[in-house]
Amino acid sequence: MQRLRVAPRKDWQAEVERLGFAYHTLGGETYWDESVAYAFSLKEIEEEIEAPTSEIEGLCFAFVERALKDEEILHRLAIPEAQWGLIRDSWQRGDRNLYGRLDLAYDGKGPAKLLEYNADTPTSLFEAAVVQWDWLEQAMARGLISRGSDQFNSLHERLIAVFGQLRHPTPQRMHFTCVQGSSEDKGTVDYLIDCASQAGIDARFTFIEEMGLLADGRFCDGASLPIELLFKLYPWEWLFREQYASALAGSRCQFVEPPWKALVSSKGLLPYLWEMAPGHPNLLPTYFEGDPRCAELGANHVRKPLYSREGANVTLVEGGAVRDSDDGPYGAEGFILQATATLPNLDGNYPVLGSWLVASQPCGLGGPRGYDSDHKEHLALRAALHRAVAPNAYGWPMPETTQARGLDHLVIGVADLDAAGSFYEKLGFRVGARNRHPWGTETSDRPVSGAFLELITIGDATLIPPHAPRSFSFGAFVRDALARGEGMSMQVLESQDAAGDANGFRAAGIGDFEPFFFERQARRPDGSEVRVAFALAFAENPAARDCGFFLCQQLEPQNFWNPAFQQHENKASGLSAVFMVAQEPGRAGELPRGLFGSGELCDAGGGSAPAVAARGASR
Amino acid sequence: MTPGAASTMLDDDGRQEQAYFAGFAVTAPDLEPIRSRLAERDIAHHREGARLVVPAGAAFGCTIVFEQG
Repeated sequence: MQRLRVAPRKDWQAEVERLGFAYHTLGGETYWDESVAYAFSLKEIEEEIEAPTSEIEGLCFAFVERALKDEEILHRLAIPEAQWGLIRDSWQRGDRNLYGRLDLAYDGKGPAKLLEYNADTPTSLFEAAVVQWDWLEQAMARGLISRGSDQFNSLHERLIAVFGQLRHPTPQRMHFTCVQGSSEDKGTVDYLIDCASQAGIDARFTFIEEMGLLADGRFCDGASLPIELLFKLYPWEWLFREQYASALAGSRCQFVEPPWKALVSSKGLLPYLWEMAPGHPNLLPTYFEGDPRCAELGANHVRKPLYSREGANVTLVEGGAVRDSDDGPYGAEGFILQATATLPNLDGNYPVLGSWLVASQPCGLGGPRGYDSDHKEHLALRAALHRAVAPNAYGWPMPETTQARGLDHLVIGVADLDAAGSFYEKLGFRVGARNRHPWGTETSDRPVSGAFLELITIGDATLIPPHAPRSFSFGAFVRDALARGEGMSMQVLESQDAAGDANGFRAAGIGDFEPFFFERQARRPDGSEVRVAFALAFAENPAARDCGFFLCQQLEPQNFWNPAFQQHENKASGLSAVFMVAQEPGRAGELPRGLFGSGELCDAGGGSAPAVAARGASR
Repeated sequence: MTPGAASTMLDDDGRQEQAYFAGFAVTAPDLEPIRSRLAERDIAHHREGARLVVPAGAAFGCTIVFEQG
């Protein structure tokens, strides 16, 4: 990591104001400071920032699971008991989160260290997503930095994509709120409204002071319009203590960030992470104040309230003496003591990195705050970050692949598997054996020249697991599709590496699901049993939510693809096309186009009428 | 494929807002035996140019198209 002196654009104020960035100067001090930039190698970004950010997010998910089963933790985090159900329900429903920011100490010489997680109401988003990207493009065009530079930054594209995924079906209307009197908060919310609008959502703003409660228990905006989906730039710990806190659970409102984020936005998270992963290279030893283990921290540590904003009530202790402290109103809920991180001294500046996540996927860096040589926060934003790599390494929407994938199979939901099987037999297809999935569905397959048709129905609905963060429920998707009607609901393409493809989906922002593995016994034509096994990588297509896409890696292909099963009375020789009907085929077809490889999908509709995307797909 | 052709072949009335999979196409070297088979077994079907189409309404919600190949 290098700190670079860069000539500011001569008209930088006008340029950032053109973007709508009004708070570049606060209290007479320059907040947006583009005289300095930080350069990283690709290895530093990928291995030292991006990977640890993803790993820490995974630890946070594990912590939420643990906390919801342990009342002592909920008490320790000072979560009001009356809100435990609200939090638990939001997690069990799989309420989506939008964004968060890890503050990391990183000097380019050792592992990045987590200072804290702004999981609930992070700001400085607009600067990171838009202003610094615009700076990068202009700085290259004006020769202020090298033309081969790039930036780890897909925040804007990810936000737009995720707004379409916050709820199924895609929400029509969404409210946004923050408190009056904060230009930074309002600027952040205005930017998010713009992203939501680009996702096709009817985005409405209301100040939190204008919100009311309707007689039926729902919250409403200043015009008495019911609020069903609400982004609130207002911390959960404050909401829990408002006079209308008792109305939260019964409001039928989906909140963004969801209530479960209250568990990870507390600095009380940090001692538990250290307890769960002691010695983790990206964590600092941290304990609750009063814990005897605090003695292990020695004479140098930082004392932080469980809940605070902008560094208030934080005390830096060096050599056993208070070196620095900030006053503030926080601390009633208790404190943590955290080992002191070594911040890099770059020309007398001590930058802290903000590693952004959107829907739990790392997707950008920004400078949340710099620290001057006295370790006091100041308002210079100094992290317009760039790195010399090929463009679009983090591009939207597709993982980098130019190789067209073959079709693996099509999933066709039917109410009566036996009746449908008989019908396909009448059509002249060879009928496969009926198989039962452990997650509640039952299927029979019809291989057709290297691909197959999978007829599927619900066998035991009680076995179907719900969707959960990072866990795609195949059974739930099939069940929901069947509830809309019989027919094809999923298109499945080949994979040679499902785990790698899942990572590619995650990096490209088109699906954040763990790869799914399963196996079962199958019967050969001679009656002998063999093992078949599969690994699946699921993708999400916000423009076509009812159309499922995933990749399937056959782990025992020699046992699955048997020529004897592919001889059909109707002489079918291959699957040649899949038909998708969409009002906007261009948008809906982006995902399959990317998965198939360029030029493999043709859409031919236009205007406002429905149109069809079709694609030759046999192997 | 034009919206009009899609509407005819796939039984689409244009009223469904969400994108959906309407069906698939299968190749076979000779369509005439398939046409005879469908007729003999009283399976609803119609010709669309060189294709044979079993409409979704007769095929568990999934249009099945046979084409030569």
